[in-house]
Amino acid sequence: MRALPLGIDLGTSNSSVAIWRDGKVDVVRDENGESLQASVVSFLADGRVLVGNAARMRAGAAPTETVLSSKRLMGRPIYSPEAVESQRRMACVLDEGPGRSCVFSVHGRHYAPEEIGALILGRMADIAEEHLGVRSRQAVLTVPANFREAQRSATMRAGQRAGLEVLRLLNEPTAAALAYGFGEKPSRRMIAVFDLGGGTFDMTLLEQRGEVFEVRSTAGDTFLGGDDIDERLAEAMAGAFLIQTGVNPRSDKSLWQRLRAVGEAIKCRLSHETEVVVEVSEHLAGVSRPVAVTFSFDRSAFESWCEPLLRRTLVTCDEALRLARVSAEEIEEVVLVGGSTRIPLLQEMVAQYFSRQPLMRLDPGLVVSLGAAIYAGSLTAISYGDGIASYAPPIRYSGGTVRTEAFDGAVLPLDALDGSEEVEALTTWEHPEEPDTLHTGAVPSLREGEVGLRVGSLPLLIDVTSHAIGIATLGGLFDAIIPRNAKVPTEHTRSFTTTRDGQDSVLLQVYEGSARLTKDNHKLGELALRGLRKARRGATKVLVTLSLDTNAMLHVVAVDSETGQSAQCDLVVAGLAPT
Amino acid sequence: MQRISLESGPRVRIAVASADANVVSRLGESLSVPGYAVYGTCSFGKASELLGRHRVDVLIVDQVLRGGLGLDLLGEVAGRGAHGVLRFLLVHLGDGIPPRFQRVLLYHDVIAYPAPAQALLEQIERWLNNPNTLPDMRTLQGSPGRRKRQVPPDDYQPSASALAAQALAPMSVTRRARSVEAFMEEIRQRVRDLAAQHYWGILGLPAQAPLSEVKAAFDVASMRFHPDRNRGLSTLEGKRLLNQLYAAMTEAYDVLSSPERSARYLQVLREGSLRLVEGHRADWHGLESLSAHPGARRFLKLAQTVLDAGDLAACVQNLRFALSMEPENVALAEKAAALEAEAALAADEEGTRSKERGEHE
Repeated sequence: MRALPLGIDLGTSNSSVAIWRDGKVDVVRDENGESLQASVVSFLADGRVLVGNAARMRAGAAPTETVLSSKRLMGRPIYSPEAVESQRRMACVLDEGPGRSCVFSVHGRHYAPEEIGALILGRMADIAEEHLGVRSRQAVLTVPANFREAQRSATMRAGQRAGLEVLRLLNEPTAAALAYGFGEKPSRRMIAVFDLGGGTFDMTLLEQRGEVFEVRSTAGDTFLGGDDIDERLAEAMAGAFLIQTGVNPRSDKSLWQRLRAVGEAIKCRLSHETEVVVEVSEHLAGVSRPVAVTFSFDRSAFESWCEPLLRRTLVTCDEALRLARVSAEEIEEVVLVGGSTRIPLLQEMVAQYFSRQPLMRLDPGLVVSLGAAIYAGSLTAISYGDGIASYAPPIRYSGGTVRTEAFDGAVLPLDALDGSEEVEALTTWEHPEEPDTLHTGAVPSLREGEVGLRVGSLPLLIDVTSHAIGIATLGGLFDAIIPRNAKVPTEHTRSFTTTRDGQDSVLLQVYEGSARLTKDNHKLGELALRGLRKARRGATKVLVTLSLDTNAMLHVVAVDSETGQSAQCDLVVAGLAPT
Repeated sequence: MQRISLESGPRVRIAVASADANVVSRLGESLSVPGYAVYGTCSFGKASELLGRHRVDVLIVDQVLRGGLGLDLLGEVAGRGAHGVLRFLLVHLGDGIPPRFQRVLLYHDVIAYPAPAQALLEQIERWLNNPNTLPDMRTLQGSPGRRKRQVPPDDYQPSASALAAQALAPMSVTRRARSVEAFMEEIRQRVRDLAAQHYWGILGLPAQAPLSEVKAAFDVASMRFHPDRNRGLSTLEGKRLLNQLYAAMTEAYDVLSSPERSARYLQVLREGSLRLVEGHRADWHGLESLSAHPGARRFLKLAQTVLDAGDLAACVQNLRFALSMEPENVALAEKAAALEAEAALAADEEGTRSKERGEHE
């Protein structure tokens, strides 16, 4: 059995893995038949480590030994609002690691978020190995579209730590669009992907033209997701709990964790039930009998709670449409991704916003890993050029699919000519068959082998930067040289002039971010150009070129256009933690 | 054997010859309607053999290269006297085809791309029903199916090497590309040509090609030169050149696909520059460079003067006046908003300081 490239969706709450095999993608299930694994790692006192669904079961029992939602802290400094917020929610202790990064402290050991990610990725690779019988070494991983470079490189390191060659980091909504658009007849259309996961919200607009998927714009909200809804429900329950029992669940981490789990269950049930009643019974310190509190939720109350939260998504939609210069009416497909899009109110809001029913043909929890596997297959299938030499699409004729051979061999129909003089003996094209299960409208159960995709289409993704990269200029303003939503790879040149009379050096401070003021953005590094010709201000011209390749490696060159004096450096856009 | 219609045979026989198997399969799919039979091949030898032995109504030759196999095929067909066997030819990307072949070929620029299949079918039908419009280039010039091309600006003259590079038909897969080395050589050549090419030229298009062609050409370019399609090019030089080439194509596409930027690019072309270098931000070049509008420039000059004197509020006021002269100037609006934010911030700090002073007293 060949080792196959994997597509892994490393989610905030859940992860899944899919494989590409012979032009088909399948989600791989674990030994219990589960296609989703919780993104949870639990450290036992005896040194054993539980990863996935088994770890989640310990979250209530051993909250301080169990790491949840570690993805939120990838590549984030300990003082960031996100880290503070996460610590408030999480039972597990957060410490300061090297370079102001976050680390989880369990049993006196420190674990960086990417180490937790590596454990989860390792588990996903194990599941695939179990299924394939051979260890895969290559994978496409997915990240939220609005992940910053630091977060991306942390994810990349997590993959490497798990022993994987990371072929590419793919944005989650884009992966979802690939899964929906793949295998369909080449056409031209606009796809909007609405991705509301556990921790983040992303909106991505793509234009599909045949096999080419061009990302037109991305926009996102890094701290909005299903977790926030769980949090609100848990807070509501905590209030009731305090009134009825006099115990504040906020001060009891284990109880709080349990209330959050109950909150999540209530949220899920309210997606298909109109009223939910749950009883939470807890053993509290100093009370001999368990304390039981009953909570009752109906859907309309729930909806009025989370509506303001969900409304925030529409603001982001506006932004994405504005960036892509398209109107909501031009969108032909609306794809919903992420568990939180199961909320009926949200589906209504989206349908209203785009004036069309959103697509949920594929399981929103699995569609991202399917797309990642498709791209992993596409990346490994073609080695150079447009791949004619190494790859040729099959052509359907006379009811069969025939793979073309090498480039200089004929594509098939004409081969039928041999030994025949009659034109009618030539094989003619037939109408391409409808694709099997993926795109016929029914919800496929995604059991292994059921998702059939045409080999002939290997999607190519033209992706964009989610943040601008630029330099600090006079007056504390940020001057974006590579704009946000620029296609990668890209190269941008900008000319600058000196600002003081007799100025002979320039210090270029490179920042990443989308804010107008430099101080609100993230510094990536700096580059000095010395020995400029001294002249009146404005007379010396410096050309600054920033180039960014598909692996987010930034190269900066500054040249004095008159003397040819140049300075350059490669900035690996790294996270805070040292590699 | 597969019959498409219930009649004794296909009414129209189309042969597609292209070095690009994707093109063959796409065309095959889009033209497979009742009454049509499409035969596709990537081998020009096979195509020639077919044409010699069978009746073919339409020959579609994709991506003819100067000195390439597609041209050989055209020459062969033209030399044989196409009218006996062949009704007409469709040729994609007509650049580089010598005039002697233009008698028999019909320039058609949409065939490689899936969307206009319907248009292509209509044209084929129209021309089959009215063969008199064929195949004379002079009649084609005025035919309704042919879009009139805009000419480049009068005062813009592309350099000789730019013209030569354009004659190298874009994106075609030829015999040369059969090895990595040949592919590398193609990349090197394209990178060498970049400096003398305008944005359309980089994408292999004639100047001022319409947006639909720009998109289509960019897609073909992406399929061939996107780094994700070239993971096998492992040499440092290969990676560097490929990135350089594809970044240039991306830049070209970005400018040409945006109405405002392509309009500005035309302006830049007339000024004799092949690239649109953006920026020249006010902090570095003076606020005046933000606008070409004389009224707005007067206020911008004032704004610069008061900014130099350190009066941010007055500068913002002048920028607002300038913006009222030219409300559609995005750069100006951005600048005004940015300085306004800065002024507000400064005012805030000033307020806090005076408040603190007040508390002290």
